Amino acid sequence: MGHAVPNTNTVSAVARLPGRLDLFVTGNPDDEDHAGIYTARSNPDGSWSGINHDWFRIGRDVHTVPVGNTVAAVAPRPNQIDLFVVGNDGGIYTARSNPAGNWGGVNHNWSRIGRDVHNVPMGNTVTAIAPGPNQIDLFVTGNPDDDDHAGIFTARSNPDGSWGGLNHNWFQIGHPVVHTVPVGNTVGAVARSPNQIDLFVVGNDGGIYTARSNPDGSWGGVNHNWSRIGRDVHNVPLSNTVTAIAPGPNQIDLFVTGNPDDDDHAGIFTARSNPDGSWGGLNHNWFQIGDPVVHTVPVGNTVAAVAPRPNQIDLFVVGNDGGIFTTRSNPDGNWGGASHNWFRIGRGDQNVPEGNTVTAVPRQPSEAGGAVDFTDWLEVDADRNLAKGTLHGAPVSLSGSDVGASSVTDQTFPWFAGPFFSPAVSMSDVLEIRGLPGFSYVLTFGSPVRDPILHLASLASRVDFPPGTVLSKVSGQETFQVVDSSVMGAVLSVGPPNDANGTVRLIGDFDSLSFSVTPLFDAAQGDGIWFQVGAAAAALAPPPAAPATDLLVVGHNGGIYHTSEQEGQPWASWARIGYKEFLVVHLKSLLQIDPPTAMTTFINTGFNRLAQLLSQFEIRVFRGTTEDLSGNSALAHLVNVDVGECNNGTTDEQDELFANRNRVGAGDLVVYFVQSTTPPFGGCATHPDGRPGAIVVQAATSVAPGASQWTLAHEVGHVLGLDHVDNTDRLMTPGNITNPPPDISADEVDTMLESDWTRGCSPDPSGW
Amino acid sequence: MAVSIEAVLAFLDQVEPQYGEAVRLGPDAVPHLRRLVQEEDPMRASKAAYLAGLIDGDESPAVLEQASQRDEPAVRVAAAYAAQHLTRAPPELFDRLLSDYDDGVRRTALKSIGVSRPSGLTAKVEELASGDEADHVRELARETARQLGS
Repeated sequence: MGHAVPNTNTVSAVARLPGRLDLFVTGNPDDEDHAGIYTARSNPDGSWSGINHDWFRIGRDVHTVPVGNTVAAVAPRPNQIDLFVVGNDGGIYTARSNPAGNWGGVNHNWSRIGRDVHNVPMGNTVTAIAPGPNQIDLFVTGNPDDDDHAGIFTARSNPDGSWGGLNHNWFQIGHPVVHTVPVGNTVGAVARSPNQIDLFVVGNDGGIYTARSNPDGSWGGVNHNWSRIGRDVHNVPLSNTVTAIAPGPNQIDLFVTGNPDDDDHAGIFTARSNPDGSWGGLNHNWFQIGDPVVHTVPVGNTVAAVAPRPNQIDLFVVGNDGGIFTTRSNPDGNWGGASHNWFRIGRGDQNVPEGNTVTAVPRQPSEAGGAVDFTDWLEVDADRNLAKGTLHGAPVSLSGSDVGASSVTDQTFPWFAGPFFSPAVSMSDVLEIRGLPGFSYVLTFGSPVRDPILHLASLASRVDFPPGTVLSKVSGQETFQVVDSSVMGAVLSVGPPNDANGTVRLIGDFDSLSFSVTPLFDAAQGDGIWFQVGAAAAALAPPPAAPATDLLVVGHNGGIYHTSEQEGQPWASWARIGYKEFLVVHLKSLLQIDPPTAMTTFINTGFNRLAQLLSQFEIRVFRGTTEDLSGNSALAHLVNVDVGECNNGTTDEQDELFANRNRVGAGDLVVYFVQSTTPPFGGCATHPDGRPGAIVVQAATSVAPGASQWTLAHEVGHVLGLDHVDNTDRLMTPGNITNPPPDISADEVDTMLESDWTRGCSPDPSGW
Repeated sequence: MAVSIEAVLAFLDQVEPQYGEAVRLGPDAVPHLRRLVQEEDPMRASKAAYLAGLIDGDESPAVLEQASQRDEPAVRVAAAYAAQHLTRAPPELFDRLLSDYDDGVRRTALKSIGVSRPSGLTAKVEELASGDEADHVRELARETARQLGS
């Protein structure tokens, strides 16, 4: 996806695991009428990464829906996501993730729920809730008996989670003629328990109506229990959506925009059920949150609500100027304070189209469970390929194909102190295990552990856990990846530790863990891997974690923006998920970088400066391979490379240097690090046709270290089409940058986006 | 016309100096360059050495002599590369550069000798052609020896 969607779309999100969000949105229409369905997944730390921030399409080109439709998403279990959307024919379609939470299967598992006659108006939104791990209930307005009014229909999954039964269990709640609502309305639904579902919808008269399932979960009673909340004066515009949350089993809170004081602006109103779940009291408890005149929003806006903890409700809505506003209930769960606590999240220029809906999702942060301890490995029997140790006082053992004698049991292994491992351990025990085809291992815990984490260093193998095992990458290099139930390493010569390094968490409670280790390269001796396992100290009874709330909204430019808040911390800055363009840069050094030297630091710093700088302009820079060419005697003569005048054409030595594109993609850039150029330059960006890249001279100076850390970014700027400018605050100044970090102008951003070497979508307008 | 140090640095502190324009500073810039090749910043020293050679003033050989004695190979490489532009390069300058422990300096000196063809270096070049420890230096030395007519 070009990381832009129609700018009035709504993003859906589920938080099925601590610290992880899955997003869904319809976008990137191939034609004016139909759009695909896209997803992105966050890292456990809440950040977004991966190619295109992991945005990818669910389904093939033929799986499109009407432009602007909203996808409903639920996660009945940590390893299952179910999507629901109205398709091009008005049918309701679903897709279920694979057991690892990924998408695959025939057509990415899209299938229709119901027969041809079970169609709804094409722009409708399905409401989905999962009251329990084996139950999903759907609600939708549809099948109008006349042009203006539609009934409310429901379907419930079978106990095994499948859809079947007569008409896939679709039936209407209420009388076919009497209990109708304006065509296109969306149903609000909450489940206070698996057998108690409450529905809310705006009726034909603008009143807000509710229906409650019977104690056995069925729908029945007089009028299927439909009744109105509030009196005749408590009407809202006919197409509004009621937002409902149930902070506890005896409380439901409703929120709706309505009762406009003028034609364009409406206040935000709430009602709370009585402690027994019924509705009563003065005006059925409806009242406005905020000042009747000041705190209004465009008519028809939808309020997002979350209840991250008892007695706290947070609301989010798009205001009259397109800003995103929030309010929080007081500790007693009521609303008060100055302006009823409404305030804006973000700067004044961070606006979205005025009718957009904010998506809010509460989640548990990934660090739930307290401090992590690691196994104290006590003995390693290399002859029997068996290691024994203790974790939290309980025995742990690892047996398998090759548990090496090089394992460390005296707490002196240093590599887990590095930046790729979380939590880092200054000194640790470690087991050396080996990967070869057919090699497998079993880790056995004397006492069950919850959400164990593995530190894996020097991984040039694929580690496969049983299908369905839910893995979550905690930290590590980009080349250290989780794919379904596997951890993928990489073959890299830079280190130590070389290859790929990182930490992965396994979600769930485990008595034992089995896994196989298969090298990603062809070597008879196999792949030596450093292995350590840990878990939170009181993992089976974690203390309550501070909840976090994530917000998502679509901006004017169709970009999808995210922010989050964790208890005790302010809202993070809004950041776009996905980039306009991306760029891949490989780094090859003719000076030694492995084992690490000052040159290694210089390269890392230079790359990080480039990546940080361009990320501000929504250009993602991916670090490709890093290669130490210092041992290649055939290239020794290029350590001081002749670059001529470095303005037109290339020299023979440049041609020879730039021919080294081992493991480099056709459109990728390579930056070569050399001792010097002749004549002396800090860097040079002239390159042979079709071999984009630049030369950067080693850290030039100890007296002016700030000057050279931007040279890589400056040279890449040239490669992307930028010329020098007469302004020392800018990246492309020919001289020293006087006010780092340097600036890049909007025109320069456009030039880079138009470069052949940045890839992705067409340039978007700047800003939201 | 006097040349200020600021005018010199305006060229040398560029990432990619425009040497073709900087050379117009002329011999008056060389005293500044002589001071700059002694500065701690090796990048600035390298650029100063090269510009001194390019200007080819009376004091330029002395600047390159100083640069050729710096600890940083990159500065000595710059001196070796600049030497090709000297009308009267002192033989001892090339001799020192050809004897440098860094193969990059020796190689660059050979390149300059191939361009400027100074006299009195044939024996030293032949010595490198037959016995230099670096393959690429031996190879270039053989080619340079042929150019020198040995």
